[in-house]
Amino acid sequence: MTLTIEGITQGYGSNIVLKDISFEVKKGQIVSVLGPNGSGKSTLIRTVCGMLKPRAGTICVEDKDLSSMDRKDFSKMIGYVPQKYVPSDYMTVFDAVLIGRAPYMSWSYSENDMIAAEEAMEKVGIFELAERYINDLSGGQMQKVVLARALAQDPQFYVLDEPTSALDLKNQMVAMNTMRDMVTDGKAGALVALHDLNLALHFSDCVVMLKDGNVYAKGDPYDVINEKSIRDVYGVESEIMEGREGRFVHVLEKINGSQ
Amino acid sequence: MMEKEPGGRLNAIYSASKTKKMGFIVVAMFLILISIVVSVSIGAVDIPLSDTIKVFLHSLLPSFFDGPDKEWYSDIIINSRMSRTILCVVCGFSLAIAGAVMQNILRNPLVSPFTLGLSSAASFGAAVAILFGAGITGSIMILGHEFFVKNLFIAGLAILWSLISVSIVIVLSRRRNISRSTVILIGVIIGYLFQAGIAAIKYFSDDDALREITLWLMGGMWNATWGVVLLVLPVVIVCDVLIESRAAKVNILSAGDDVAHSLGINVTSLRTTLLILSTVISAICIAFTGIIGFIGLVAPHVVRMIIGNDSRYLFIASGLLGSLILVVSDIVSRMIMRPEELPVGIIMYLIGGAFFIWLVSGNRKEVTM
Repeated sequence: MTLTIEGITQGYGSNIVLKDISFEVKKGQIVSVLGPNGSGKSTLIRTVCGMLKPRAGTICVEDKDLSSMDRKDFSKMIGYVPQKYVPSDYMTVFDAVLIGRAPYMSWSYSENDMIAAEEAMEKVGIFELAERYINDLSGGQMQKVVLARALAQDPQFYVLDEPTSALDLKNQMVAMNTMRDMVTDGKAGALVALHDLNLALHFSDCVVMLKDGNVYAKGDPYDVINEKSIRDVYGVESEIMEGREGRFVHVLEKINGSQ
Repeated sequence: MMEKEPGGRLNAIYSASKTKKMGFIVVAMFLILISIVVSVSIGAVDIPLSDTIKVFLHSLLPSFFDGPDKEWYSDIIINSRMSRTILCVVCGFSLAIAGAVMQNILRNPLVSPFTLGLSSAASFGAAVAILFGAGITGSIMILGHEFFVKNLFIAGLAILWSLISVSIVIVLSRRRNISRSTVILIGVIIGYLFQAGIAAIKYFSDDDALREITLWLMGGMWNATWGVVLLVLPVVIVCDVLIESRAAKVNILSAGDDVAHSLGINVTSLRTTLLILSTVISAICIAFTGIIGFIGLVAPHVVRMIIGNDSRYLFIASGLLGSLILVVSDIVSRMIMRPEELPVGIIMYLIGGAFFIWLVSGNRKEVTM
């Protein structure tokens, strides 16, 4: 199963933010969207999730146009994970995770809903917190609640907006490994907006680099993320180095154009 | 760790929390029953508890139970005090559930029918009716009950202006997809505009009208009759059913508008529908009682602290606690200066004020939604 983004153009008023963006996400893949602030990453994520209608172009799964799908079917297809979770007062962790079952429930939860939510909480390691109120949790734990909710939703494709930006190093790894888990064996696919080039190098199967609303480059992370692309897109000098687990980016002090 | 069945451990936790929520609801219902009995027993003539119970049993099962020895006890309870007490139950329920709905759809713990400009709009409507309806006299029969035309005129204009105000809020905030902060901001501003209108009407009113407007703004149960109960109750029941059937969707809103959208919720339409329903349900009540503040704020707060924020249970439980608070406050308002009675609105402001001072003092955690 493939999520195909084809010729997407998007904007706010007269300001065009995305121009003719095309790429695809296959099941079993993590596809990362990279680019500096204002390059259109979030707009792209919101467009794929149906929160914004594209000005031109289509988003399809197989040959089915997502914009023609009804809401419930859509929510079984695409699961959105926000950057930050602003929790409500007196909401327990299990209530928050069960919300992910919305596409399958009407007023009360079924046995399947319980099974899915329990599995999701165990997978991200928050079952022990089930009865706690969310706003008593740390930022890392909250992000795990969000991931568990997305897992409980059990969509075909996960769409994540900078899921690691508020997390410490260890929790970044937990979040990325959870995402890896989500897609193994072709259970689902993931499209993720990322700031951290090293996480992108380490975890992505494919990257799409945006610059000023255009696709600057796309393809294998080792091909796309290099000293030239980082200079062109982010405006910084860097060095790509070889570590024990693969390549990583070392950003240099001098800024492009001011050397 | 003992349960091996998939989903079993979560099911156990979920069932336990559900039992707690249902327990709260049952206890609240029981306390309401007690407070109703107390409420109809006291007044200018105190009726002994045993006689009150006899009146209830006799009217429910006349062939099995005898009425009280003094037959006029039945008349006092059924025809005068009972309608007032039932109106308290209905209004308390409505105002509290409206508060809970508004707070959860806008994810703001300080929102209530009053912060969204609704009470100001209703007051404005009532003030207009009082000012221009000074000459209206007489009564008409509706559903076999007598109504004073002037009271209906006041109630009608109060409801009309409440609906106008919520329509303005919805139309103005539609441009921004009924986002939470826009709705609240516009509601507050509309409230101030209507306050200006009320002040102007007060300025042009004569002494009689001024006193009537002031009393209306304090809120009280003076106009309670079975006729009013029969007018209000069907509207309240229909709105409650419609609200409760959407409660699971309101839970999903707590994950944020974007996530709710991706979980299949039409956020704009859900928020609009529930704003209208909660407006109707509170407007129809305050139209006959005048402004009774704070129930919509206090009741959901307390319930949330005890049983959590699952809207499916929160709405009903808040409604029940609202009923209990209003019935008890009404008892207090009749007891405190016997045989005179104090407007129940004043008692509510005292209770509400004390509650929020308690809430913000001490080291309870920050209130966020």
